[in-house]
Formats: sequence, C-alpha cells, structure tokens
Amino acid sequence: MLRVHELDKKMSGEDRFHLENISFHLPKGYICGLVGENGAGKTTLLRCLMGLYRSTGDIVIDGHNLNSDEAAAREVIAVVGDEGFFDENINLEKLGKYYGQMYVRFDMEKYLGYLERFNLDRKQKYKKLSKGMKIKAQLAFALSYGAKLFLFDEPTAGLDKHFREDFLRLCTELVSDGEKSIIISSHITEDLDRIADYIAYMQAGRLLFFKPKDAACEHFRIVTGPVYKCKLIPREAVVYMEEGTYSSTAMVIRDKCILVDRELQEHTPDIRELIHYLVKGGKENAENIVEKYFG
Amino acid sequence: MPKILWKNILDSSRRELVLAIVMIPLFWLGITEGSFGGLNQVMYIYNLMISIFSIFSNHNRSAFELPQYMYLAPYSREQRQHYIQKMFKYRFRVSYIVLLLPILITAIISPDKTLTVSGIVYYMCEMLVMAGILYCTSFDNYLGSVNPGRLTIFDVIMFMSAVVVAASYDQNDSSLDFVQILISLVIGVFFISMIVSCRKKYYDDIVRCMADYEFAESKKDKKIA
Repeated sequence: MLRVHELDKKMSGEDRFHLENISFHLPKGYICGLVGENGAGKTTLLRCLMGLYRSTGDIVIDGHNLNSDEAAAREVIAVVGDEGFFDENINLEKLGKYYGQMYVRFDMEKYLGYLERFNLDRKQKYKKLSKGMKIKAQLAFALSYGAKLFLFDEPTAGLDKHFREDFLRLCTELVSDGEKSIIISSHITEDLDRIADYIAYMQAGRLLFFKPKDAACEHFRIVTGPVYKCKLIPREAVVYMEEGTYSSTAMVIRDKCILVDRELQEHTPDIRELIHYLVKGGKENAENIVEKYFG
Repeated sequence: MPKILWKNILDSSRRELVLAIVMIPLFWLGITEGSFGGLNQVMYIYNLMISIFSIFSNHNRSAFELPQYMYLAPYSREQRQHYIQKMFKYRFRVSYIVLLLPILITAIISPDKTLTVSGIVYYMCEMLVMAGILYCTSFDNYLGSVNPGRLTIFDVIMFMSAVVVAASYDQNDSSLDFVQILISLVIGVFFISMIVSCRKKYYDDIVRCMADYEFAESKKDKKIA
C-alpha cells in the first residue's frame, strides 16, 4: 500500500529540521502507529506523505508515485486530524458537494449514508461540530471517495474514552477488508497498543525502527525488583533503569539479560513502556540499541 | 473549476462589494457639496481605505492562495498553478468592477459633474491609482520576502502617489489646468508601469511558488507574525 524509499526533507526556516533517509513499507490491511517525542518529525513525515511537503526519495501509494503521479496518488489518500482543511462555514451536506467534486470516485449517496451512520446532522455547520464529530465527518468524507491510505494526525488527543473506543473499533473495521491501511501519529500509546500492527519510532528526524509491534516489544523485558538486585543486571543489558527508594524498574535487552534472582519480576513491555525507556535512555543509546538489535 | 474555489472567490468579492457600497453615499455627499474639493476628500478617503484594505487585510495573501483543501486534493502541481491563475484573474475582474461601481452610480446620480472632460480625466486617474494599489499590493507578500525594505518603500510610494492625485484637484471648480493633467498623467504612467512590472517580473514566479503548500504556509506564517 505505502512504500517509502529514502525520503529526505530539509525544512527551511530557523529550526532547519531535517527528515533523514526514511524508508519503510506498510502492506495493505495494516495499521501503523507513528510514535516519538515532540519534535521528532512525525507531523513533518505525515505532511510529506500527504503530499503537502515536497521531499526527495520515493513515496509510492497504491502503485502511484506521489512525486511523478501526484494526482492519482492523492486520490487514495485520506487526511484525518486536528488541522482543519475544510471551510468551517459550510454544513456537512455542502461539504460533500463542494469537496467531493474534486474526487473521481466520490459518491454523494455513500457520504450521506456515512453521516447518518456516524449520527451526524447533515445540516450542521462544520465549525459547530465537536472535535470528535469533525474526525467522524472527515472519515465519512474519505470513505466516500474510496480512500485507501488513511493518515491520522493525533486523532484521539483530547477526546473522551467513549469516543476513543468508537474510533479504535472504526479503525479495525476499516482495515478488515484488507484493502486499506492506516498510519496513526499519536501520543496515546494505549490506543496504539490495541490496534497497531506496526510501530514506527521517530527520533530527531530519523526513523529509528519500523517493526511489527510484537516483534519490536519482544526484544525487551521490563524487570522490577529491589534496587540492589536490579543493580546486579549486566550494564550492557540495560536500556534504562529507573531507581526508586525501595525498588527499581529497568528495561533490558531480552537476549542479554540473565536474571540473577527470582524475586525480580519481568514482563514484555507495551508500546508506552518501550517508548518511555527508549526516550529516557537518551538518543545515542536508543540509536545504538536499534542498530545492534533491530538490524 | 472546483466549486470550493468559486465559493472562495465570491467570499472575498463580497468584502470588496461592501466597501464599494459604503463608499456610494460618500460619493453622493461629495457630489452634492457641489465642488471638486468635496469630492476630492471623498476620493482621498476611498484611496486610504483601498490602501489599508489591500495592505493590511488578507486580501493580498488570498489573491494567490488556494483554499486549503486544494493543496490536499487530487490535483497535480500544474493544475494548482492553473487554478491560481484563474482565481487571480476572476478576483481582479471583481475588484475592477467594484472600483467602477461607486463612480458609475455617482455618474448616474449627477451626470453634469462627472461627465465633463475634467471629471473623466480625474476619475480615470483615480481608477488607475486604485487599481494599481490593489494589483501591486497583492504582490507585497512575495516581494517582502525578497527585500522587506523594498516592500515598505513600494507601499509608501504608491499611497503617496494616490494622495498627490487627489490633492491636485483641491480647488473649488471643476476645471483642470495643464499642470494638473500632467501630474495625473505622470502618476498614471507610474501606476501602469508598476502593474506591468509586477505582471512581467513576478506573476509567473509567484504562481509557481504558491502552488506549493509549503511556500503558501510560510507566507501565511510571516503575515501573521
């Protein structure tokens, strides 16, 4: 579905941010969670994938190269997020009429059907919708022109648990036909834990790894126990250790860790823990670990 | 052309139409005062409003900027350039009609004052000045990034020229002498040269750049800052 090869983007301006040599392949029917600290380059990468920022390298979406076959590639991209690209002053029905006209495969009946399914009033103005409803409206629109690659930029930030549940269910439903793929940039890693098949971890403009979620997490173990016992773990096995007064918790490399005591409890990290310890361990450390163990 | 682009053009035109409608009673007052002095003050206000309107409103940005979604929509860069050209063309057609509107209406209300040779020369010059201000300031944002100093000088020169045209008619009769006609013609030629220069030197470049979302956004950020 999406193949990115040696994508490189230097931003102009004061920060001189550089998105460096990014390559990955997201197959059809899968969800990828895009994670990383603030300023790691997630939004810049998404904007390159949306075709908003011009970059070098190849971005191939459903067989169409975004640089050389821009219009065809954009026909299958759906952008859903906080940033409003729609005119806020029109109602949802008109939104379909005005914006749908730009897509070859847009189906108004289908669009109105989705509005109904998402309990959205077609006469309601876009600006009057809550954030959750705006996300749903954007989704309804995207589904009506047959989008295949959905790019979500912080879709659940600031939304209640109920909407997040709905949203996650919708995402899994979307990819269930095996034809659509989703990239979600989110800080809410609990959501990604539940639905992501792949994890793309960004750091300082570089894609440190793009791995199936379980494979990425299974490289590591979270070990908890008394401070003095944790300190006996070989240093080269520790990604980062958080020391408390009575107990410590460390993320260790699974292959390197030889448990010294049965009192130490261990489990496989989830995405939140994985990202947390990688960030805490420092950029250089994260780079070394990824280079050594993720190859 | 996409419907959303039509909507965008109509929305921006509405603002200009409101300005023109506001000016109609002022023109009428200027005429009924029975002197070119009175009308001159009205033209002066009109020039000022047009200058403020085009420099400080977002008019000059939106003259080249597509509606946001069109940067995401399935169009190639060439198609976006084509739409920017069309949008620019239609916007300025509307602007020119709006500029003509108060003058046409006053000409209908008081034909004896407006349809004299002096009146026609005066109006033609004012039209040219205002069209020039509108047209040239739409390039400001682009020129500003090349040289911010030039932007200010450019605006000041244009506005001062507009003031000179208005001031050259500060008299209580409707006749024009040779010097006044000469001043108007010089300023008229100046504005024509500005319009031609902007069109020839910068138009193609700016259309090409504004088809790029990244460039359009950076201009917007600068404007907000």
